[in-house]
Amino acid sequence: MVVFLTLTLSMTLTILILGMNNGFSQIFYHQLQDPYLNVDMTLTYDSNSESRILNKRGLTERYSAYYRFAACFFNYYSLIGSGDDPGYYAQVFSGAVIDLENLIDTDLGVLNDGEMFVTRSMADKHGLSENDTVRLYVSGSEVPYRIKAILPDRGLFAGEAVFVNKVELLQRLFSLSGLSNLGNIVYIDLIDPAQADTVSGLLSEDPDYSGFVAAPTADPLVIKMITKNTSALFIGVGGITLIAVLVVLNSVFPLLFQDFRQQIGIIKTLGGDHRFSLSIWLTQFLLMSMGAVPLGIYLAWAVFNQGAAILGIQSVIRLGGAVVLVSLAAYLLFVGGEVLIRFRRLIRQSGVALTYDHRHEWVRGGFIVLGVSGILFVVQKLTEAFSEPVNALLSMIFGIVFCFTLCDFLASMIGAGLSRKKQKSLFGLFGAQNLRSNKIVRSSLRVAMISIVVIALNLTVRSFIEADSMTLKNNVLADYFLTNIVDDPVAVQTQISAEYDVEAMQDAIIYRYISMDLSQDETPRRRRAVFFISLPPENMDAFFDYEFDSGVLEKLADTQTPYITVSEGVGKIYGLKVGDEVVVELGRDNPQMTFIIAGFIHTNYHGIVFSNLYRLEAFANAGMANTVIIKNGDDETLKPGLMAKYNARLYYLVDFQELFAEGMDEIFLVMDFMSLLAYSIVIGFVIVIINNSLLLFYSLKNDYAKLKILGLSPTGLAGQLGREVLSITIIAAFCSFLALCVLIPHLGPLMLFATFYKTIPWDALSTGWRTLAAAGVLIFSYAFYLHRVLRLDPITEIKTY
Amino acid sequence: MDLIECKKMNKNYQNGKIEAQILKEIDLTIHTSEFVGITGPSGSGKTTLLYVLSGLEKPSGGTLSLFGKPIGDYSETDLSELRKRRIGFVFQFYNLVPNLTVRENMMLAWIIGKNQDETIIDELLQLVGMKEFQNHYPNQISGGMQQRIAVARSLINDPEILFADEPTGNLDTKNGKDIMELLRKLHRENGKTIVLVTHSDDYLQYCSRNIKLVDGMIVKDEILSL
Repeated sequence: MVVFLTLTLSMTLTILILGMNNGFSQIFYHQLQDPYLNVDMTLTYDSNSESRILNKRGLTERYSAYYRFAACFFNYYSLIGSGDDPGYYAQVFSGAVIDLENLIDTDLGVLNDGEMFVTRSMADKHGLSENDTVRLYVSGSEVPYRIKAILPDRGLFAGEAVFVNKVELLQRLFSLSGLSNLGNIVYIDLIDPAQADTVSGLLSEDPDYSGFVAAPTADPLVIKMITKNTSALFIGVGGITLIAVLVVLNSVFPLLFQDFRQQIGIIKTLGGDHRFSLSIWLTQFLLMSMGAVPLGIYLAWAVFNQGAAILGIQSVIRLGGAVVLVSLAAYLLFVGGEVLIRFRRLIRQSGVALTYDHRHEWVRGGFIVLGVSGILFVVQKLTEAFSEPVNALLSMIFGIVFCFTLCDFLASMIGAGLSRKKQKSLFGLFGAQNLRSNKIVRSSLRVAMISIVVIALNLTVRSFIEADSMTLKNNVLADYFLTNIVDDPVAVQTQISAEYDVEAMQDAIIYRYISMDLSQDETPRRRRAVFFISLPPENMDAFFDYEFDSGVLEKLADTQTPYITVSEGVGKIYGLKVGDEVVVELGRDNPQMTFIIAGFIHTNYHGIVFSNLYRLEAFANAGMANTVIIKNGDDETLKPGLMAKYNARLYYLVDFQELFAEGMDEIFLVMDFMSLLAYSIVIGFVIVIINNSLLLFYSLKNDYAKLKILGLSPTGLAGQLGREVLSITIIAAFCSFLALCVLIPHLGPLMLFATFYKTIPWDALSTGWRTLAAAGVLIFSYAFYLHRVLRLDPITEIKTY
Repeated sequence: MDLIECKKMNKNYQNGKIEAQILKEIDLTIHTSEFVGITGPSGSGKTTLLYVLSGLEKPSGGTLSLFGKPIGDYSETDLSELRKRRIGFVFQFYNLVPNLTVRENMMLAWIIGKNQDETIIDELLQLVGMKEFQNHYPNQISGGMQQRIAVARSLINDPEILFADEPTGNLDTKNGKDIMELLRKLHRENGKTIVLVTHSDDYLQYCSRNIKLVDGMIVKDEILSL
């Protein structure tokens, strides 16, 4: 059972690590795609351009062969009131009813003017019923709508959302009738074999649509980027987990071979061929693997799909044939390799020698490996002769090998020291000898150590993800960005300050989702910045709490040379240095511009970029400022007031805290999934520890039986066991702590292999606590071991000696 | 003095749904300074009887008293104390701890017995003629030597009664005889009570009493002349 469980867990953990990328990719694909149901692509406005309205007629005339439907909507966020509730924000979908039917793949009835559909979520949250009246704010006025029907949340029409007739709404907004072809987004369901990329390409060259953004609903590049970013966080953990799996598998074999060597010896002395013995053994492993492998695959599948369920994804996540095959190959390679290598060692011995009991074989100290790995680690840290990720990898390898062998070394030394004590104790005699020379005990110690490392590492990464997400919120001090201002933002500031009591305001240039070319050689290396921001650097502190490299703020005040600053991580990922050139596309309405790297922002958020565009003399009269950044006081009327006033001008109010909260909901969901993954690995290793303690039990039970027969009382035995468990835990915890001190600071640079970077802070206290927590798990898991030993029937052991 | 007394004692083993009665209606008393040889064919229940008489296993029925106290009145701790102070064991396969030296194996029993004077180890090693091998490991000495160590270890706490389960079963004739001579010496010179299980009638010459088992029942219980 112990061996079967070990093999199963090994298979599960291997697939989880090797299949992480594939799993994330599918999960994020479904997360992006599933709400769109049948919609394959969207055509919408560029948030950085002035054009906000598109006309669907061109699509109907020229591209109808490509799609099943093209639903043209005018969507926006608006204040809505109902009953005594003064107002709350909801997404307003407006279009033709047939368009909504296509969008959510549901048959609906007729919707007349003055009527609306609302989502079940919104109705439940605000106590709405059919035939209730709600007030929609349109162009500064309250317009009453009757709730015609409450629809179940489905696809994009979910959360707090309402649907009204677009023609009626646009008439109210723009006082123009018959605007059925106009909207700000078109949802398109393509007919096979039309591909989103192809149609997007055609639309981008169409003069009517080149100023708009046509993109697949689940952009493969976006998915790839999110997947890569998420997987990169686990790259270090994954590597260590795979090493741990190997150590765990390795720990199982001494116990198995303990019995097997005697079997081989007997077969040999009876005249049997050793190949016959090998075939028995391989058959045994094959039979166990026939159960362990499918079960392991199933468990890995279950973890990914449970994670997907947490994210609200209904679709099934597939492991992928390649992932399973590679994992299976790795598993068979290792298991088969272990069997063959150990078998070859055994058959060189005589049949008689094999029949002897070899449970206690002297373990060589490995002091040379300890010394060499230690020296190599120090030399590596001093010289750092290679690239950053390679240096990190080498440091981690040497450090882990050192800590592993340190475990063995400490066990030897402590065992030897206790043995030599003049004042003899049972632990000093019996327990110390096991520490010093018992192969199984040493193997158990290594498994304990690596398990603590894996558990603590997963807890660290999980904790880091949460803390890092909060940092983003803390870095932005502003409350709102009123953006897409096409006229004078200074005038808008004046209007706002006349009506509201705000703490601070600043006009600025803010573009979203800007494409940058970061390549410094022939290789194209593009990246999107989520926020491209430029404002007077002297006012930066009022709205942003970022730390910059020294000299950056001075350069952001420069009026001649275009400068840009990106996050440290982006700098490391793309090998950027101060003075490098970056080409930025500031949306379709602006030309490409070349900026010089002024320095780096000390942040783990890679989506933000600052520049001195605001200050450049060459653009002083270009009217590039398009945003007012607002830091509110306590005026609760500010947001509804701004929305009511500026919605009609199609200015876009970004409530940063709300944006962050929405983003955080998603981040927390992803974090929940990653937690599930991390905790699955943790639970896997808790089971490994329990399993391993059982292996230890099987190895030592005969000796414990002898102690019982010699008259050791249950209390005495419990005390002996307690000291043994404590000594193993202390040695394992100490070496694990050292290993974590080496691993954690190098996790960030290691991510550069996946062209990603995050600075994962290390502090001794947190690492210490997590090591202790994992060590606590270790002690707890040995409880089962203690129970088994205390209940041991010595006679059964003596009889089966 | 009666060290061990049992009346109508039974011992059953459960093997799945099958219950096998190994010992049936055993009535016997072991007195101080006896050297009892328990014999019988294979499967007659000799070893089981030894384990029950020594308290390592509990009877399924009947009564059993050790040192005047019913077995049911002994807790696990009490039984440990018995094995520590009043009972010694010698097994067929020696049961030495392989990764401890000869001396350390002796020391194990010495520590468990919470003894103060370490010289007893030297004396016992001397008694069994193994002093020069005290720093050897079990796999570095012969079977006969290991069994001598096992005997010495069983005496470390000066037990009143020694139980030996086929102590010569794994030894050649000469080593077997050496062990039996050692046991005889302990019986005659040290007054130890010895209960020995053996499959060989040849060793009965060392015993003062023979109990023969067949199919779990005592078929013969006779005093032997030494």
